[in-house]
Amino acid sequence: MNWGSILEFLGTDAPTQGLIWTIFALGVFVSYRILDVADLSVESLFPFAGILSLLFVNNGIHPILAILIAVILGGIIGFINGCLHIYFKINPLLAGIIIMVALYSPNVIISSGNISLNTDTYTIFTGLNTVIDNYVVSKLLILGFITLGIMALMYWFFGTELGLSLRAAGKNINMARAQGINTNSRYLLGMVFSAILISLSGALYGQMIKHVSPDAGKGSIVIGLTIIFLGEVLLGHRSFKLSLFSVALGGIIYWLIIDIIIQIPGFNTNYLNLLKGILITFVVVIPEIKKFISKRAKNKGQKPLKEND
Amino acid sequence: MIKLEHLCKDFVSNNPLLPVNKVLKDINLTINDGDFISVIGSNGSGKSTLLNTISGSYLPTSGKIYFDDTDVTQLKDFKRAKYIGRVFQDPNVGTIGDISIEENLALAFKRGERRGLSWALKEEYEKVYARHLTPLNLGIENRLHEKISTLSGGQRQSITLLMSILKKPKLLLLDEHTAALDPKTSKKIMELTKDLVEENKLTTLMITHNMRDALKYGNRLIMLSNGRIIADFSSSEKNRLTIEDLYDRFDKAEEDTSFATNIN
Repeated sequence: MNWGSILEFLGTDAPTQGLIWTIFALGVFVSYRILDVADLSVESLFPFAGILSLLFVNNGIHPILAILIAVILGGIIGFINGCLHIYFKINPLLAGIIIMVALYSPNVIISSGNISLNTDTYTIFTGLNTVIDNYVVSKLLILGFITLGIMALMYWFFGTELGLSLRAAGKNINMARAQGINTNSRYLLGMVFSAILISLSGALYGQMIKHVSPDAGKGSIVIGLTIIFLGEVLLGHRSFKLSLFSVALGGIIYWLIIDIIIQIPGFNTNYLNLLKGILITFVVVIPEIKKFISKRAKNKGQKPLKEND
Repeated sequence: MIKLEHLCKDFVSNNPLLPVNKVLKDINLTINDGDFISVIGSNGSGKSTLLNTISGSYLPTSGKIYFDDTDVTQLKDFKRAKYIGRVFQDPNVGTIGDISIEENLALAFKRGERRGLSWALKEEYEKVYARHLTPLNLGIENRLHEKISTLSGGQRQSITLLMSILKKPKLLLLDEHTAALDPKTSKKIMELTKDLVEENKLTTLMITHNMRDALKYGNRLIMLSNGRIIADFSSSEKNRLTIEDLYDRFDKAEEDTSFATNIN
């Protein structure tokens, strides 16, 4: 690859989209991998934050403040989602579905169907553009900075006593309670943490794409999970630090794949969701195939392949 | 001193023939400091329910539980955890396989304490872990960064045992903690348990299915049948008992119960 083609690639939406969905996948990682909950509320939470951030910016609020408010409101939604499980004993999967369905209405109402950024309105991405004379590069810098910041924050937080206790509560509720950990409060904290990351990615998405409809989050959970699984296939999850990096790597590779597929001449984009479905199935199946092969090698008395776990 | 007063625990079930299942019936027990009590009883006698009620996993239907003079009856399990070290039957329940040995130990090191935003793994802790792990002769002190799932069941159970006493508990609860292990490993863990209990002068309540262990270890033996304590042997009485004596006592207790239910 020469420099020209790298710049050409950077000029596409793939890297920036990849970073936004990496932040999203880090949020899914918190709910799915740490709390062991398939939280479907993200499908509505993502456009919710995107719509809000555009609404605020259109009404003259500073873009960073707009993102901040959208994220706080998203965090509250995450808290409600957690409460549905903790206080009303609703199955976590169902609680997520309830939020997903219920949040769709406010999304339609506040966006009046769909919302676009007013022309000549500043976003978080245009600020740096006045300094660096390249919109794509400034987008990449801002998103890269935020993504790295979140990864550092997560690495720190989940390494603290509180963060470790949250991981314990998600992995083994009996053990956690026997060690004096209030698993209910940890669950709520985790759900809010996840919702904050989802909302942040949604809010950034809104200001970057400049157009959000309530359907923007459709299939987003599949994207998030594919990124997580893809990262694990590539890097494994031997340690927490590695897991964080694998999500980031997964995010970038995922969009690379999608971008390449879309650019195939004559590709009908209606097939995209089908392809996403095939991709996630494929990524989930790979570790199983690896296991199968190593088992067969063992049975034949050969040296087994190193298992990737 | 731990005191159980008139402890009862009912479970409400969907079974129309047995809508209320009385598992514990008026349990009175005083556990003195330094006691090592073995609890035996057949399936369904209420052993595990007793342990879970003491630990707070279940709240009793009636009765009181005191730790020293503190009434802990309504205290939730995770709040009671500061008094109690627990070892479960399944090593997978007592530890988290997916995180490192060190992280498991760090979780136990802070049992019942406030967990803040300071780093969970500290170098000074490693020395404490090493001091506890070295006598086990398992070489685990050099493998602190590995995941617990890389250890065998026996090794995992040794770690769980260690975790339960890393912060000295007022009461150590052992729930058939050797039942899932092979006989040889089981014996090793029992010896380790004995050493740790003696060394740290721990007050211990141990459920076991193994009559031999029940007679061999501890200074008291309690027999549970049908939700009641039917015998409480002191150290000297226990030493004279044989396994046959225990079976006889159980048979007699069961006859009495079936007689009682026939009258009802």
